[in-house]
Amino acid sequence: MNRPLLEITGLAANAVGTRLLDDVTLGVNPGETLCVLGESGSGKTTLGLAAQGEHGTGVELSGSVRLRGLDLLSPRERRRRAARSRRIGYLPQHPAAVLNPARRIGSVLGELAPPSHRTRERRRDAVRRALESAHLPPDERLLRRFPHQLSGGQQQRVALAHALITEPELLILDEPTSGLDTVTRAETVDTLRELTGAGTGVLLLTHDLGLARELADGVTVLRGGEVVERGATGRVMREPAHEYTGALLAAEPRLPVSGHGIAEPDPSPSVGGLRADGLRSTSPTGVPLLHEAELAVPPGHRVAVVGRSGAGKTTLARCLAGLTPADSGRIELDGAVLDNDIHRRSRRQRGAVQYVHQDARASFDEFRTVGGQLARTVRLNRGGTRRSAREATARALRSVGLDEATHERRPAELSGGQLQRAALARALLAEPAVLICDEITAAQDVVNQSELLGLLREITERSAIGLVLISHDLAAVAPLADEVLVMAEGRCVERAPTGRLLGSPRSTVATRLVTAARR
Amino acid sequence: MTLAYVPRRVAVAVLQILGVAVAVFALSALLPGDTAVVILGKHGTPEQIEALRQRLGLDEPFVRRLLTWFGGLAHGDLGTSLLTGAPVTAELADGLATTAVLTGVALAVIVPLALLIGVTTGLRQGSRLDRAVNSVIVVLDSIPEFALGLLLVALFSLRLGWLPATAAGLSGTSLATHPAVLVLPVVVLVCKQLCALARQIRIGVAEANTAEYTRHVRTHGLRESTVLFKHVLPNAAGPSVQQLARTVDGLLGGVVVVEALFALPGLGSGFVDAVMARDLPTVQGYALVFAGTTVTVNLLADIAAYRLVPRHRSAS
Repeated sequence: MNRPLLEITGLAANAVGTRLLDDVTLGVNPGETLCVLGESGSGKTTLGLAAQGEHGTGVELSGSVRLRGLDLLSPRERRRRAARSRRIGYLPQHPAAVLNPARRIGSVLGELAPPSHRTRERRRDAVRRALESAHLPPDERLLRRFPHQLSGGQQQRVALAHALITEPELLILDEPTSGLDTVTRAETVDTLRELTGAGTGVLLLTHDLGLARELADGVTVLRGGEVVERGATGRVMREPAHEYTGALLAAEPRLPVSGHGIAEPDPSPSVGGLRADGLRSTSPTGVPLLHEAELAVPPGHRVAVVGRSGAGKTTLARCLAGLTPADSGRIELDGAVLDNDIHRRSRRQRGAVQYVHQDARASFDEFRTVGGQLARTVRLNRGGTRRSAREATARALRSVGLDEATHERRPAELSGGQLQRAALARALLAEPAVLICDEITAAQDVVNQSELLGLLREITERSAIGLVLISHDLAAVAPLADEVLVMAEGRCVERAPTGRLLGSPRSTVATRLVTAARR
Repeated sequence: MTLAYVPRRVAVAVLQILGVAVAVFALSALLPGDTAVVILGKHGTPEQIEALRQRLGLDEPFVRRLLTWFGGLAHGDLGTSLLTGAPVTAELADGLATTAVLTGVALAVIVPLALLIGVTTGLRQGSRLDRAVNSVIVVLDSIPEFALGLLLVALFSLRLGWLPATAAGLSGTSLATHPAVLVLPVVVLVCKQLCALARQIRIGVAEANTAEYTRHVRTHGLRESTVLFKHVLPNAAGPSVQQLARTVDGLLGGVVVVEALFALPGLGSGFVDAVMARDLPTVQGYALVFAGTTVTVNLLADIAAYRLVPRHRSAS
């Protein structure tokens, strides 16, 4: 038998006092896709770095990692570099961090193109092909942009183009679809199939069971840094041998086959709640982002806003919250007009529309305790004593399923899922009328995702808070939403009760989203 | 609509210069002591002083004097020196050559040296070399210019006799034939101003060198030289350019001390002389030149940094 492309045996990783990986053994053959499944915190990212001979600061690796028989853990940096030189393409979990803020997209891609492309034209062709494979339009304007001018989904695809343009033998993909809408995700799956067909080996690190099912030849389940199960994809999915694998499978969100089974909302138009009409917004460079967007969220109503990345979902959410003042348009809350600019809204009005960010970690101050940061919201909004603020904070933490001890912890001591809950608790402490959740489940694994959505259901059922759920993942949010708003190119293209939209979508965009979500 | 950054920044700079001009004029007018008294000395009678005040226009109301001064400024006329009777612009031109040579040579040494030190230590952050260089820089940075100047004179001029201790007796134009007198002043200026710039470059390089985007292109096989010049340095450039503006500022302050110390006939020593003599029009002229340079240099640095950090362009 041929030697595998990537061969990992007995790999262990230790950070100060903590074991991140323990005795991990796996192999990837050319043209094969191996999926490593696991929740966040299972050691996937450490494994992804170790597979290219890299590690975070303070992490020690032992065991063996070989690429075509060459040692990637050699203590000599030169030898490591030579071993992997241009054989590995890597897509990290947080693609924004790997894009150089001072460089244009096109010029970095041009540098990464294999040196065999000597002429300018051949380089440009290579860049164009890589962008096409990553499903980005290969136009001149995109190439001249800087990373901060791209949406999260576009950044992810540019990072994928980085990995593809080097024409690697081994692709290491860490959550390659977490920021992608369902349509782009389906296209990415096709690209990866083509690549494995051409002989590239893929190491896929993900919590996305659907992706594993579609792409992987073999699955390795990782939990707490240890391999708990391995086998052919079909077998693992059908009859998981380990109870943990079974639990992962059970937590997966499933879209009902037809629209039935999802309750139709009360059709009577209720008064009050948040309404927005004719919202327009333009980027600082003059690109129109929103055209006449409209939205209505009656009290206790749950509206999902879905669409491909770059469709204007986040812009709409930020306009509603006043964080990005809309150029024109009208926002009303319970009949009273809200200023488009948050700076000209009263404190009460600011509290009434709460925005929860996708990246919970970035929305907390890393140096202060979580409880302290939540208590500040309470005291800003309601005043009161330190003690009463603390009590309110403790209650809020409990209500989102976090224990009392969280109060004294700093953000670094909490997992991504726990922090997202704390962020929700903070938003609730402002006593909002409307809660806007911008992709809050996108970076979460399936278990966290279903728990967070369950929590949102609970919150909206026991209060009259209206919910705006921004998501690229129709399958994940459909069970929760009363109504779905489909966006494309800054416009609201379709708005319908969830059941109707899933059963008979009218616009082509909605049809594609529903079809892709059912795959 | 928000105004584009560059025109807005230029407008601010113009306002700053105008503000400085008014402040300089007002301050000098408010200073205690009367120019007429200074010129005539202790022996002037009250009648003589009064006559001189009238001749110099010192008895006119403040606003009128300010307007007259601005009127002259618009034509490039800064008035005449009360002491020498020569036009202030001529006095300034005299000193300018010396000071320009002094700061120019200092800058020409500082910039490449700071780059060399900053980049090598930044790429080897925490290494023995880095720590050693850092300690030296901290020590250098904490010695005041006049103290360093005196130390160097004591060692190289008085003890070893290698270099002249002073340029006394030389005029601006004869400096070219005696380049040796410039060595110690330049060394003093360089030692002081090099430190902050080298440290800023080091921090910027170290940060960009350990950033994830740099590791990313390294693992994808980019050559080290490409990584350095195309990925590390562009990110370190923005803050470093702004630090460079502060370096030029520091040099302007430094020349006042250094020129006085080494008796060099430049803008710095001229400024000190004018202040001592309460030669109002000349003091105002000097202050205007110094402030104008500072404002202009910072303007250029801000625009350069704005171009160098793409995120600023859409954030502002």
